[in-house]
Amino acid sequence: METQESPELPGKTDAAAALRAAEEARRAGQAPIPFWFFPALGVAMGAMTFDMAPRIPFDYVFVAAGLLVLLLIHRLYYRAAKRSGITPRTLSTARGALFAAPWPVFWVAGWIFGDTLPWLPAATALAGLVWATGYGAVHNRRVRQAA
Amino acid sequence: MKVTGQPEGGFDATIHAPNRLRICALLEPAEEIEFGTVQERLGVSASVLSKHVAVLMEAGYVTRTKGVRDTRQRVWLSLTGEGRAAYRAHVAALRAIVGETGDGS
Repeated sequence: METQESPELPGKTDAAAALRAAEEARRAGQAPIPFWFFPALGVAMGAMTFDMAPRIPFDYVFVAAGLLVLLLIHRLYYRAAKRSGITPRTLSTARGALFAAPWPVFWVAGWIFGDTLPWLPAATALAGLVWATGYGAVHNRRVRQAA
Repeated sequence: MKVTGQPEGGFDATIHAPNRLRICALLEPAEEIEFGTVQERLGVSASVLSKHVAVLMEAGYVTRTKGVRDTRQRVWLSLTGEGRAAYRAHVAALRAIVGETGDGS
């Protein structure tokens, strides 16, 4: 086992070798978020957005079911991560906020224009799905590129 | 320039030991990694890994949590905020020695 103290700073060659070893180890710790996670979130959130059309009955039941599905998705995600032995880093607050940003807009738009634009809830639900899938693809591509 | 086990100008002798540097590097991009997976990815024995993890835990750089998977208890390792910052500063110091510029991640 290495000693805890080093008498001197490493030379250029040793530092370069240490950096190479660190990069190699870092690559081994990279784990993209499972491919299905973001689209599944998009479907659940999109379904809840779709429900913002006021003509659909049983709103609260629908929203509660959507929240349950979101919880189930998170549970499946953590189960998959635990099985792989590596839990990917969660999104930072800023990235999480960026990911969630469109849905409040979709919901408000659904409430305001749902009656006059009957196609709007379906459009926003679809846009949410596309956004979530695209966000996940970009996120995982960044993780793979970093590796 | 003399350095101790404490961070000095970003260089951290506690992290610089080869296996500990690799442990920190492996843990850095993840939320947490199972002990057995760390062992497998780094190709070290459980006893060697345990000793290095103990040093990193003593420094406050790594935390260890226990969880059950497939009815067996597993140990999960993760970098603390302090450990992540120390690792990044250490890599930045190494890059400075080599003459590179970078963010240290």
